[in-house]
Amino acid sequence: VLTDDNLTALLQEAFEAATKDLHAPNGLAAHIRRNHRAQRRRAMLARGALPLAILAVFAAAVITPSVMTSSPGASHPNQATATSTRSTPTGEPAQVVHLAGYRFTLPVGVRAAPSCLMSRAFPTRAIATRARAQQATGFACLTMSVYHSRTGIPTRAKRIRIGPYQGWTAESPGEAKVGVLIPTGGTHRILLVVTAQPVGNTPTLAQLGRMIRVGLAHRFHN
Amino acid sequence: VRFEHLDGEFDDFVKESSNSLLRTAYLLVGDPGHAEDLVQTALLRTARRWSVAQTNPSAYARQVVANLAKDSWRNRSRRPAETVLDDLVTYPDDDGTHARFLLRQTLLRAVATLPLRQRSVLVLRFFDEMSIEETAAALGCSVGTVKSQTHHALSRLRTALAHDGLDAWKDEETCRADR
Repeated sequence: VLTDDNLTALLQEAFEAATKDLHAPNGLAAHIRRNHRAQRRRAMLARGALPLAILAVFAAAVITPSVMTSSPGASHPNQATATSTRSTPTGEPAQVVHLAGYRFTLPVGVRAAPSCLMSRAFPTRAIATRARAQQATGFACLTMSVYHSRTGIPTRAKRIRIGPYQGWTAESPGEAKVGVLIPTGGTHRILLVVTAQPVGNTPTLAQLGRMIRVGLAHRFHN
Repeated sequence: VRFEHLDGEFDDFVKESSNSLLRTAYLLVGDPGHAEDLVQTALLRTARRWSVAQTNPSAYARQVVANLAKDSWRNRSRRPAETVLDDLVTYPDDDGTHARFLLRQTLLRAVATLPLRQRSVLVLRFFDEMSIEETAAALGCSVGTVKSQTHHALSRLRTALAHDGLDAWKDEETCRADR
């Protein structure tokens, strides 16, 4: 008979086994302090200078609609300071974000909410995505929706053409979960880059998920 | 209270409790990425209310984690379910027997299907080793509710094991008795 004591002992053992490899990173407290200060600063700004800021943004939008303004000066490298939109060199619309002293260009469809860009205490941030991959004329087309991991707000779907990759067959299309990684903490590397490695001849759904890695790795220096 | 003056205390607290908070969060939400987010937010909220939390910061942070897990569960329940990749499955250690490993997996799968409150009760009581009163305070419910939720959760786990894993457990116990 499985008594309550046996069951709870077993449960404790299972919990321990499932979590034994989880470790919080070093320097967590410093990140939390930094975010706390940044949040307080933003709150103060919102209370005191919001009307002025709205006026300034409006004026800037009217006077210089096509010129991207420079970073207004982040008080801390991990603080996102400004966002604007403009076109990439290929003419596609993109969102420009200043963060950590760098200028990042995110394709439209990738949400750059301030909370998303909050300095992350943990080395990577996994944003749940669902990807639909299909083969078409030797290229894999990836339609991707990015959700913010905390708010769950989906962005607009983004269709990206990658490939051609050998080993993709008609059997391979399907849905797969991929992770969007945004390494933060002093070494920000942010912009959408899709890479894939072929695995075998007929990748399964799980292999497909492993093959497609949507990393945010393209970096523009100031 | 200015936060900067509490650096030392807060650092000590984070150093001591961040690992256990992360593990608790993981057991509640079942996803390492979400668990990390939860812990970061929980520590931020604890820092923001440090004057209140400093008497028992660990309990305060745990309460925040439990509340955030509830919010996260509500948010995620409105979204399409995600596919778990094979990467996330842990494999047996060298010292673990196969039957025991399967039993643990069965149990964890059963825990994952429990309603959030029952899961929270199990995690706080049997993983964080909190008392019934502490669990009730952390979840914002009565002591009686904690007791009943524990009873229901254990019953459901027992049923799940009876379906899937009890044979493995019996084999394991028999082997142990023989040794």
